[in-house]
Amino acid sequence: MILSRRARILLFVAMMLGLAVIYVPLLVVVVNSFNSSRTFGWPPSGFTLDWWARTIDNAGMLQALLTSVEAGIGATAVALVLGTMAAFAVQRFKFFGRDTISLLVILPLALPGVVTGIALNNAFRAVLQPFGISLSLFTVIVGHATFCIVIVYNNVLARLRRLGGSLEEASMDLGADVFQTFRFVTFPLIRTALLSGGLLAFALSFDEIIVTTFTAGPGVTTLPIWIFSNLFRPNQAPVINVVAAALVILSVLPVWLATRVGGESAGGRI
Amino acid sequence: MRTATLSRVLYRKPLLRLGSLLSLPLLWLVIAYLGSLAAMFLTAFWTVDAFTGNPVPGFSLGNFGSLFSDPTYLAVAARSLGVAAGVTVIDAIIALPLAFFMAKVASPRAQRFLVAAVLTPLWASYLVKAYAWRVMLGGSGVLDWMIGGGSQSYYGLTATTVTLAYLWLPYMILPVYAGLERIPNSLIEASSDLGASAWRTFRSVILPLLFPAVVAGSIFTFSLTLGDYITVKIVGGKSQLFANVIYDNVVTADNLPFAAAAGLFPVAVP
Amino acid sequence: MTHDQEEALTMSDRIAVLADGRIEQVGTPVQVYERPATDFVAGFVGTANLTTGADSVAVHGVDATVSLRPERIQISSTVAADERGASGVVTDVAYVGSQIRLVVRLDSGIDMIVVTPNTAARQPAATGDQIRLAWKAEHALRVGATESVSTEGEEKMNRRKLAILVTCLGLALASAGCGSSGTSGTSGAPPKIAALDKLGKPEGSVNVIAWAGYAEDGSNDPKVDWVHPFTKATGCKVNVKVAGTSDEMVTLMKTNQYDVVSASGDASLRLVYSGTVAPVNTALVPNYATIFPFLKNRAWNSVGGTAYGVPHGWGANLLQYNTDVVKPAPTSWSSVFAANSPYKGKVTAYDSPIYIADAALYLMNTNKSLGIKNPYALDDKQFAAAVALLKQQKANVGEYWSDYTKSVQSFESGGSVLGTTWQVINNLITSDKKVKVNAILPAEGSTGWSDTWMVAAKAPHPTCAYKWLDWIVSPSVNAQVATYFGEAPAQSKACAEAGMAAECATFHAADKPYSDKIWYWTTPTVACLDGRTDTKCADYTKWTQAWTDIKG
Repeated sequence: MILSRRARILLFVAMMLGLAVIYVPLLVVVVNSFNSSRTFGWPPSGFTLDWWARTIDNAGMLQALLTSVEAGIGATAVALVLGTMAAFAVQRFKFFGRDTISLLVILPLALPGVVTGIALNNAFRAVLQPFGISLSLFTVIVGHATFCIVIVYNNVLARLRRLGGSLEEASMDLGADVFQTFRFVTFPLIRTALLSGGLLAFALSFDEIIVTTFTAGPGVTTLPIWIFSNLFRPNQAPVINVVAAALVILSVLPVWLATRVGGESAGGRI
Repeated sequence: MRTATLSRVLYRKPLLRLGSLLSLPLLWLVIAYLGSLAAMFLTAFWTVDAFTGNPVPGFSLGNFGSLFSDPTYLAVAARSLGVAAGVTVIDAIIALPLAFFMAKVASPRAQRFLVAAVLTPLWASYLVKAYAWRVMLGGSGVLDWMIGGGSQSYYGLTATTVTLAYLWLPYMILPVYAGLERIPNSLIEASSDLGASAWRTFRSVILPLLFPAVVAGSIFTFSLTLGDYITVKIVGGKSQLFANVIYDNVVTADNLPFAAAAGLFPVAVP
Repeated sequence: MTHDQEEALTMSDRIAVLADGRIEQVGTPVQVYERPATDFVAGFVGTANLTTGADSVAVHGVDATVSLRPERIQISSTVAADERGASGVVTDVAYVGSQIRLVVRLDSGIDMIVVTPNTAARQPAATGDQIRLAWKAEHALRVGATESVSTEGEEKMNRRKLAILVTCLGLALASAGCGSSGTSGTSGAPPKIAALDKLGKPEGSVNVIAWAGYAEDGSNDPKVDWVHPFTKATGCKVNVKVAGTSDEMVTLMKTNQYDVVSASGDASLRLVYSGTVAPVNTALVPNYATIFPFLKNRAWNSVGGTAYGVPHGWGANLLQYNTDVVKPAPTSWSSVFAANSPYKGKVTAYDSPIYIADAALYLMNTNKSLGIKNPYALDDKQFAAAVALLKQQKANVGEYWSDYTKSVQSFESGGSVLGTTWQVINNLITSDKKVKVNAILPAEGSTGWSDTWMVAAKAPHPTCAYKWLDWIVSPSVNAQVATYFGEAPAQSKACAEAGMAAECATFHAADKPYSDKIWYWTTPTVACLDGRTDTKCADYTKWTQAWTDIKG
């Protein structure tokens, strides 16, 4: 399709409008982090760096950030292993109930967070507590991993579908065993899919609040939970704008990294 | 050479290979997740001790009875579906041209930049973004300030729909973008070589091929909307959605059986 | 070793075809192509029209897997003696340069690929043509049957068994998970749980559920920290879980992982009657003695004279209004409940089922015929009246609020000009100086909260829990919490701390008559809290469902 000049301009305008829709609210967040009002009123009542100064040495925020990163890494690791395994099983084998797996994997994300959260909370308390395992960071990771699996699964499945099996067959024909084939042939080929899937899963876990509310144990405060509780604490509300603004800036690096290695497209520009 | 032996065994027995690939994901998803869900939905048939608030096992359809007989619940359910549909449509309308520009028009460098630009907002906290919209739509907020209204606030269902559409937009853009990338340019070129206009190509070639990706995105936007109870509290004025009913019952009333019965609605819908 | 077929056929002397690690056939290129040993080889090397079973009978007259190469089929209306023939319709014609490739649907419904050399410079047939095909019988090759069909079936069976096994496990676990919820009687008395009789050695940590701002450890503001001094003094490390609502507190406490909770009155009785919290031995809390007497042994922190907690602080739900907009200044809750409010769309109300009590309190004063004695003890008729009033109020409400960030913003932006509020919200708005507001305790009195520190019945760290109770109501700490959070302290000596006199005056801390005008949040139960025994009252579950109904 040779796009006419007009069509290109129209598309460009549509894209810019879309980006504007995405970024105007974020701009409001950033502006508000310098707003001297304590409850983000508009227009800003004055300029202050006070909130930024307060946030930087806010031990609770840093601790919560660390917890969120831990939960994110844990959940992403589990999701990477389980998602990849499931994707291989579905893509490389024919078996009874294969289509059900795809449905099963997507279910935790497709079902509302409230439902997943309540169900897991109920089950953890009933099943794990008698064994002395109480709600903790571990249960948060379990909860997050459950809905992160599908992200990795989808990424890996798409990649496997594109790759086909002949490279692996060739590797085995040349004498490599199952593990060597995975290590030297399959893994390098799906590595970028794993990375982009993993990053997206991490982002999903990082900002999750509903399932976290129901699965976090005492003393486990992830960043969204910290933000949530600080919204309702005297004199703290603007600090969360600072945190959000800082996160947006910090996130540029991993996101950019993910897109760099995100893999080749079938099309390219036209 | 134990790995070699293991490799040989795995190689000879594809069933074993499949089994070992599937065992962990299935254990996790079926037992940890489906088990929890099943346990919770079983409680939908229980009742609650009026005095202690503890669930009493038994079999009663009372929870479903009150759900279906009360017109309020039906109205809330219908409203939630409407909002979810609105969110999905808005997201699709914004995402299609944006993703198309990203995948097919932009240069590879611009493409990477755009993907990063679309992913970045995912990292700014959900709550902060929702509050940013509160600031935008509020009385003497950004919107009011721009159009010079008389310090009027725009909270309500429309505000909720718009805010949710904003929050879930990346979940629509990403699958659509991935779907577009998978469409080989040769098909598009073939279509335009055969004389189809850009619009015709889009409608008759791209859209049908893209349909599964749009459906995937819609599943996200739909279920995320049905599971959300926080945004409507922030920008919804005095309205409520179905997730609020579930949340209120499990957290406010501590009535897990009723919440479980209500939770079946968003589960049954998609 | 190669995957390129033409290369293999051209270069090799002998070819081994492998599939799934098994050798399917070894032979010269000619043997492999002309005499495939298995259907895999026939289909894998080059193109073949493979037929099996009934299809083979129809086309070739034998019941076996048969391979027929496309280039061996001719388009011919005559069939020689050593040939077999069939007729069909051309469904596709592809011009491939040196060859022409046809797909023919035979009369028997089987698709055949036919390749003819492009010798005549014209199409041998067009799509839709009825043509006849012929091939030498010797070219239809019988392929040795493989055993794969039977093993496939067996594998399927095994997998199905596996799947069934997994499903059963899931169900077993599910039913185990359901059976563990506690059952307890429906009698009117709380379960008998003994209070702690003496303190032991501190356990080293304590798990706390608190309102935001009740257990600050300096992590949000380094100047606001009464947790670390506690750890220093007692050796108990504090794990704080901040809860957003009373209901969340109840849910969290029921996990049995926490030691103490700062329960409001709308949570405390639920905790008592469900056996989640134990009575408190006040003798083990030295600072209990100097707590304002009018806060002790009240309906929301004791049952039958047994103390279930230590009072922490309290406040009233006030009526706040924008003094520039709302004129004349309101004096009664009627301003938010009146049907034809001039401030339609700018009224705000608290977003919780407990707000039904505000309507009941108003009705208690304005509609004496309903006979409401306690806004938390409503029989069916009284309850219906309160709900109806709130439904009428909804028309005037711009938005409901549940967190004070939202409330402050709502007033400052002008979205709300009149409605229920807390003292701390009023202080914040006043200090921001964007709008002028005033907060009053209306003539009818008001609802309010009084928070109580309670100890879990199954507290994992009971000694540290009691240490925390004593610490949090000690004069200096109680003063700090009250100032930071914005409420009246429960500790009488707190008002003697430096700078607390003004604070205590603002919040009416020592003002018993003021406190008496407040109906503190209490959990509604089926047994009416006003002592009536001839009727049943709406319980909190009903209140919750009614609140959903009110919001519509």
